[in-house]
Amino acid sequence: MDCADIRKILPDYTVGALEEHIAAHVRAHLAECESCRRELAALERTGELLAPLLPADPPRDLWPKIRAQLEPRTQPKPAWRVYWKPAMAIAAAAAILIVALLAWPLMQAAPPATPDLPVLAVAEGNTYAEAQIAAAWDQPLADEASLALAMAVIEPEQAGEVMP
Amino acid sequence: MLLAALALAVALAICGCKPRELPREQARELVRDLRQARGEVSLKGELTTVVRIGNRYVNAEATVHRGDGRLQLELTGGRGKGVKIVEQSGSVWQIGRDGKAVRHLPRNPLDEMPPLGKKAVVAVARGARLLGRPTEYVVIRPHPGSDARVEIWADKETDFPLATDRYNHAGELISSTRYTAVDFSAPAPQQVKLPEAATGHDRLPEAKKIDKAKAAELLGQDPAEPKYLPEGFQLQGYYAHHRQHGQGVEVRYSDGVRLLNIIEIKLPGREQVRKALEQRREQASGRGETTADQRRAPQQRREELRERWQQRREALGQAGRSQRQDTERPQARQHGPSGDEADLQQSPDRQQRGEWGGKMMRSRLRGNIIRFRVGDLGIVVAGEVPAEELRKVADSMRKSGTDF
Repeated sequence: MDCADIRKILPDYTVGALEEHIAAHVRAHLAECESCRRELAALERTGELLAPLLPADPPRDLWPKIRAQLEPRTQPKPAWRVYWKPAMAIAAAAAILIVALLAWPLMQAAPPATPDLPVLAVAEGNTYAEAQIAAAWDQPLADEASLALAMAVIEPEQAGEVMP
Repeated sequence: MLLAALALAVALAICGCKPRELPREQARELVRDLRQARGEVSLKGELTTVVRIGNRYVNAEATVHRGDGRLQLELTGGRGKGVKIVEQSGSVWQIGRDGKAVRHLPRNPLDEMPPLGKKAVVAVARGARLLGRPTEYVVIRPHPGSDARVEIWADKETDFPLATDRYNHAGELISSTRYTAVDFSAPAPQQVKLPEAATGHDRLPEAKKIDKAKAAELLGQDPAEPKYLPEGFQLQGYYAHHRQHGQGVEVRYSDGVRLLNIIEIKLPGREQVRKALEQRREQASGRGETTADQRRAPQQRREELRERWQQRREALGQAGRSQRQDTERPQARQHGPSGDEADLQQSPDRQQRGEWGGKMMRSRLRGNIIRFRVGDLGIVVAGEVPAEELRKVADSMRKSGTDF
């Protein structure tokens, strides 16, 4: 560290504000530098002259009073408040678009998923299911696939046996 | 602003998907178009289907090839796998896994009656895209406010139903079919050579449309007709049912969505029954003369029954035992021998006889059943209507009849 560096930190050295390893460097320099020793002495004399003039402690409620007057005008706004108007408009437009996209499927009646039902059979004897299948097949809007499955499940010999 | 956008979107959604009711003439035209498309549109496809049997559901996958009034469907998964259905030349054939026909149903399309019931209402809305194709959502109810209905998602280009759901009067799903793949560019299927009847089915059961005079001839008297019908039901016609063990007449009613079937059978007269019982008692005690044929008939009948159950057992064995574990004949499984042996010991009609008479039976396929006798006619009333309505229909037909 040269004299210019030392003189920058001499005021902190005089009040003991330097870290120990830096203060050691300053002491080593002062031991060899007449000019910096004279600067230190001048700073110490100045401190002695100013000591009687140090201000008194302020009253406890001084700063809160000052802050109450300063905050509305001097406290910086959050970024979102600075840009809220254009951002709000963009968000609203995006919301309408998203809601419209989500609602579009709701506007179209979709068939419920085919029930995932266990494959079970019923064994009650009933002859007339076959007659009902034949009648149902004749209906204008018959679902042949489900009727075909019913035909396959209801055994023909059982269906035909009881009906005299 | 966000709330306003949300409210607008919800309003649009409600307006867009709420079905609008069609005027009567437009409704008839739409249903006619749907029916025509069902018969004529050519396609190849795959589908899944669910049907309610009793209180349970059975599902399956199938491939289908149809067009020009012909249909060829094969169940490829689930219950009934391997069974084929062929519709051509005005008949429907069920072909078993062995390639032999086990059922034949002559088609009796409703050419004379209007496709819609008297009070049926039809509503339409924009449907969802199915298989990448826009659809029209159609709801057909037998009368306003009914929970029974058919819901169809019809392809906009061809009017062919890509999805169909049916609900009963209680709003319970009866059947549901969804096409999972479809190719409308496929040509119609060719006619196929129909197979011979399976063993034990020398005469396949069939139902054929007849007129009232023929119905009276078969029954030996005019068919009994109800004085009360549920709302919207109209007479569709008379049908003859021929089976191995006899024949009956069906008087069929419909409200455009649901069916009401009244099946009438000529029963042996009381004098005939008395004589038959007496003869049986004499045979059992060794008295009286009986011919060799009379002695042989019950034994032959038992053998036929045994053979039939054996065939059925083999067919089920091929389908896989795992599907039968908690399904077929659970009662028999719990209380005694295995399901099939219990079947041989207690045939269904004998089982049911104790439950007939006064009690309403449950149809395996649709709705309820009431059986009773009026004079020499055994009558069965079966339909997809509430039990109370069915009772009113039956009561309007029997004055002093007895349940059996």
